[in-house]
This record gives sequence, structure tokens and C-alpha cells, in this order.
Amino acid sequence: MNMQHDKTTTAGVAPKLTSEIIQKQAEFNNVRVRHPALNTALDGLLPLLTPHSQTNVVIVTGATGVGKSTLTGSLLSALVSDFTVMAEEDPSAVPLVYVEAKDNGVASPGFKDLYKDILEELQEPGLESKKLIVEDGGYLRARPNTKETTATLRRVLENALRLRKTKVLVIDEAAHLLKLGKGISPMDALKSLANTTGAKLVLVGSFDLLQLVTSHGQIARRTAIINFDRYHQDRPEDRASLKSVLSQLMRKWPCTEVPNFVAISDQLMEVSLGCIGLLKSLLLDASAAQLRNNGVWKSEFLLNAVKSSLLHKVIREEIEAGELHVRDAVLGNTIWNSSQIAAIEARMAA
Amino acid sequence: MNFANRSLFFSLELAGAGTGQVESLRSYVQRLALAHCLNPKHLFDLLEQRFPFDACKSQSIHVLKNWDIQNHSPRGLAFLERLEAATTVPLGQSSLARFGSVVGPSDLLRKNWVYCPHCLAAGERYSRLLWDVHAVQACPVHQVRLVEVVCGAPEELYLTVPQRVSSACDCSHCGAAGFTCNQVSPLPATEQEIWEANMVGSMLAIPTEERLTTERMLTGLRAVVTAFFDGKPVRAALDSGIARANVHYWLQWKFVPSLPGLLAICSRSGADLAALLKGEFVQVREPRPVATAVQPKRLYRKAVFSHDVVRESLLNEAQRPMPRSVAALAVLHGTNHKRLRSLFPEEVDALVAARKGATKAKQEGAFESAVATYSSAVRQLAEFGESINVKTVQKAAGLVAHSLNPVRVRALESAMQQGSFVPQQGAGTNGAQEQFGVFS
Repeated sequence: MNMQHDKTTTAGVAPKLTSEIIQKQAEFNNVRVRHPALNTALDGLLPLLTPHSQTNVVIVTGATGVGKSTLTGSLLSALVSDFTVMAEEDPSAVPLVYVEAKDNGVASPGFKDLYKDILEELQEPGLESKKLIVEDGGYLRARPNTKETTATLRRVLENALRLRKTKVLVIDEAAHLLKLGKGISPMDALKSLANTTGAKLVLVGSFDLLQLVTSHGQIARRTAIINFDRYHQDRPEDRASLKSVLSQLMRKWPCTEVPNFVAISDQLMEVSLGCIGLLKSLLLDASAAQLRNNGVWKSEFLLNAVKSSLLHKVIREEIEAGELHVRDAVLGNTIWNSSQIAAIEARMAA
Repeated sequence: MNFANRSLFFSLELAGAGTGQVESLRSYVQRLALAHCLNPKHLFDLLEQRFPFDACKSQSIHVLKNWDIQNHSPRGLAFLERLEAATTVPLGQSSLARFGSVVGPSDLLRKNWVYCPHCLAAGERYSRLLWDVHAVQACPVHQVRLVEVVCGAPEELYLTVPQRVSSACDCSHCGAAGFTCNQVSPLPATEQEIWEANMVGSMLAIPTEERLTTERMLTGLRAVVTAFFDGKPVRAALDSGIARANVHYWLQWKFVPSLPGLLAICSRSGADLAALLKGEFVQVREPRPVATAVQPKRLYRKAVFSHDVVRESLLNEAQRPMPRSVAALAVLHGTNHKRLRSLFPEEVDALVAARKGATKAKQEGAFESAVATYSSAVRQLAEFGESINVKTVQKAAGLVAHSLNPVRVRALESAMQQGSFVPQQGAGTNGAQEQFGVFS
């Protein structure tokens, strides 16, 4: 059998997916670009996670595909480097915990799975043998039939977070927490966890996450909301930032022939709605098609990668509704208007 | 993330570390288990899984029963090393293992636990290693005698076994935190008891970095004997109220000194125990007067061993309704049973036969009595038309025929047969099992 490839493959013939193509795609997928919006969000987030900050629950929200996973990755990297010395000095400490809330497809999910995931990250031994011990009126009593119940796991988790000296607990895809609780407010449960253990909770998720806060009237003194904002076409500085992101991505392009995306940056901004995650996924699909075409670029690859108009409309409407919802709640949106802020700045300068 | 390979357990701080009020290993393990919401057995099992015990078997059940891991033993040392690795906390101070080379292990630790109610009421809910030392009778802080762990609650309030919490500072029977169920007021301690507790406390407070060796201890003991007893070991022993040869043998390193013995010498001379173990003689108080009288022990009673007296004692014992054993009489006369058998073979045989006969008669009496009780219960059950089986009969009779009491087991079988009760084929009469048969 002749294994030689035809270098001038036509678009109609499906080329083979070689390991080389897969590797190049993976490398491009792993490219992380630090851009101004990411830096702004990180700059807002990191001071809230310092030990002396009074904020104990931070909600990081943003549009679909805005780059929340990249933000979480950057946040974790920054925190890991902050906590490395502490972890080296104390071999029992787990200062940072990251878990992803899951939708298990159960009709009435509870906190048990989340607690178990966190405890596994905390390397808690003997999870299946835990026994709840209650103290009531000066009498201690074990409750032997409470193994692996939510109450037992909650007690174990509180002890583990406190004694493992956990400083930050990051819960990704936290919008799934909305389904938990079975009659109790998930936000109350989480805030109480933060209060009793001293750990700061970072909840990362889509705009749905805001329901967790607003539906229970929980925008309180110790809660902060950070909106990871997308780039807007009506702002010249945002357009310039997107160009810069595109030029960085072009430098890491997986094929030798690099299409000039900077030239069409405004068009790409429009189709990606200013979301870096959506832009990246679009370019990833286009690059995959180019790699399968033996590195030869065709403009139809880009056209095929762009979302359909219906899908684009749905995403845009969802993002706009979410942004409207979050506008007044985010960090930095104070009761002062712009003229009052200008007056304050002038007085302070004097 | 870079937080892999964390310690197996939490790094709980050892309470009172560096002081005479240091927490005991028993208390630490129980506190650690509570923090992990596990019982100590599970904690041991997890420890053994991660750090297998190669040199010796851990036998968690045995350890939890006796807590001999606090002493100088291969198991204790292996356990301590593994627990330190699992918690990354230095725990050497919480155990008496480090004194193994200077103090004999026998009678070092208590079998029955004690506590100071005032210490627990003060809020520091941990058990001190000091309380577990057999020679200590008082709390040096509150100057009261230590109270034995006894549940003061009525039996109705006792928790079932699965509900019980294993904690060194809480009652395991009723769960009362800090043994508040026991309202006994502790008695005031004597000056001597407080001094001894202080001495042991200063010994426990010796930093773990300080290497205690046999040579250093012997140097210290020699210094005390030289400075205070004119270099005469026998005088040191007799003045301190211990057996005359003890100090001599200790100095010859024929056997390891006991902690009460060292305390007696320190008490007589006013020497500091911790300094003695470190190889120095430091006088911390005025010497006490010479011990009034040496308590006659087995060693001295041997000197008055008379063949006639012993022979008569054996013959008299054989005449008693329930004679004591040969071993018990040997202890009474300060000897051992082999010596008695070799010196008085006829008298011993007579005693053995008399004891065997008396025992048999006693067992027969117990058998008859049990048969009567069980038969009465069978009749009673039959009258009321209730189900008759070994379980109901035992319950109605109020006598449990467990496997350790063969007389009752035999009596139960006999009573059932007398009542024409035929047990099912293959069914035993163990009270733990439920068997059924037909009563006609």
C-alpha cells in the first residue's frame, strides 16, 4: 500500500490526522496570551485574596468564552508561587485548593459530591470511615450511622480546611452550585464555610452565577464580584488590545504559512464578540483545517470556523443580558458618579 | 498544583510541649483521630497502610487497649517514628520511650487512667503524660491528688458501644466532657506527693535534643551517692527505703533502676531528678529524714523461711473448705511453687488433691443450682405458653451460659433435656446464638 501523501490535497479529500498535527494543535491550544483585560481582572482579584482582606467570597463572572479558564489558570499560577514558601515550610499545609463543581445529572443533587471533591484535593485520609461526633450540653456522642452524610462531610471539611491552613478555595463552574442545597441557600452554606475556616472562596462561573448572589440577597459586606469584561468595538483601546492579542497568537501559529489576521481584526472582533476565548476557539478550528491541508491556508477555513449567525445571536443576547445584570454589582461600580469621582480626585490631589 | 505529598494527618501541635505538663501520646492520638472524625483504630490502620510496620506488628486493638506505645518498646518506638512522619510534628516528648535507657520500663505507666479535674475544668482539655506515670499521685499545679477515671452517671445513661467516643479527657461511658459525670472532689495532696510530681514533671520537660544515656545517669547517681551517702550504695538504699542491694546493682548496671527507686533517692537527698539523669547532682531542697522502716518484701521474708512452719501451713491449708493454690502459698512464704514442691512433695500433693476435690464440689454445687434455675425458667415459660429456646430460657433465668462458663452450658443442656426439649440437629448451646427446638 502506498503511504505517500499527495502534497496538493484538494479540499474535497479528507486528509489523515497524524500525530504531528495533533501535537501542533495541542501546542497552539496551550498558548496563553496575557492581555489587558486579563491583567485588569487579575489585578482586581489578587488583592482581595490577601490574608488581611475582609472579603471572604469572591465571585468571578464573565461572558461565555471570555477567557475565565485562562484567568483561573493565571490566578492559580500566581497563588501557587505565593504559597510555595508556606507549603515548603509546613508539609501538612494545603494553602490552595481548586475543584470544579460538577453537574452529575442527578435530579436533586446535594453538597456531598462537592465536599468529597474538596476533601480529596485536601488529601483527607479515610473518607469512607468518617464518624460524626456531636457535643450537646457538655456530652460527646458519636453518631455511627452518619458515615458519608453531608453533615459528617461538612464537619470533616471544616476541620480539614482549618487544619490544612487553606487560604484560598477556588470552585470553577460554580454556576452548578445553583442546583445544590435542597431547600437551603448554597450561598449561605458557602459563606458559613468561609467564615468558620478562614479560607477565601473564589467562585468562577458564567453570568448564571449571579443568581446565586442576588436571589438570596447575599451581596453583603464580605462578598465581591469581579466581571471579566470582554473587549468592546466602540472603544479604540479595546480594538488595539485585540490587535495585539492577534499578533501574539500569529507568532505562535502552528503552520509556516501564517494568515494576516491583524488586517481583519475588527471583523474578528465582531464575530468573537470581543471574547478572547471565542476568538481563540475560532482560530483553533481554522488552524486545524490548515494543518489537515498540509499547512496550506485557504480563506474558507476561517469562514467555516465562524459561528453561524443564529448561534452568534444567541450568544450575543446572553452576554448582553448578563452584562446588564452584573453592571451594578461588580467591583468598582460605586454609588459615586463620574463627576463626583472627579471632584474627589481633585480634592485629594489638593 | 505543587501541593502533592502532603503529610498523611494534620499537624496538630502537641499541647504543653517543652513543659512538665506535656500532652501524652495517648491523648494526642485520640485528639488527632477526633480532628479527622475517625476513631483511633481507623487512624492506626491508615498509618499502617502508609507506613507498614516491618519490625513488629502494630496490632491496633492491643495498642488501643493498653496504650503501651507510650513506653520504651519496639512497637512504641516504631509507632512514634511513623506518627511523626505522618504528622510532621516532633512527638518524642509525648512518650516515655526516650527514658528507656535510664529508667526501667516495668510499672512505669499506669494501667488505670487518672486525671486532675481542676486542669480539665481550666479549659485545657488534654491528658498530661505526667498523669500516666505510675509514680505520680498528685497534680503539681493544683496540688490535689489525681482522680481515677470512673463514670459517675447511672447505667441508664451509658452510651452504646458504637456511640462512645475515644477521648482521653471525656468519659467513654456516658460521654461527659471533662469527666463532669464524676463529681468526686479531689483530696489535697501531701507535700511529698507534690514534690515527686514536680520531679517527674521536670524529667518530662527535658528537651528531646538532650541525649539521655545510661552513662550519664550512672554518673549522676554516683555523684548523689558520693555527695550525700558517703559513697555507700547500701546506705543510700536503706536510707531511701528501698532494698539494700538495689543501688549497688544499679551502679553495676546489673539491672535498670526503677523510677520510684530513683525518686526515693532524690527525695532523701533533695537531689533534682532531671539533673541526676543528665549526670549531675543538684540539690533542690533540704534532705528528708531517713526512711522509718524498710517494708519487708519477699526478699526479707525468705530469711525467716522455716520448714516446719511451711509444712504446717500446707497441712492446715489442705484442711480448709476451699484451700488456696500452691502458688499462692509460695508467694505467702516468699518462695516459688517449684521450691515448695521439691521440699514438701507429700504435703503439696495432699493440698493439690484437697483443692481439686473442693473445686469439683464447688462446681457441682454451681451446676445443681444452675440446673434448678434453668428448669424453673423452662417450667415458667411452658406455663405461660411462651417460646422455649436457649435464648428465652437464659433470659427468664437471668443466667447467661456463655462459652467461658462450661458449668452453666452443661446445666442449660441438662435442664432442656429434663423438660423434654429437643434441640434441633447441629444446634449448640452458645448463648450468643439463637437456637430453636420443640417442647412437648
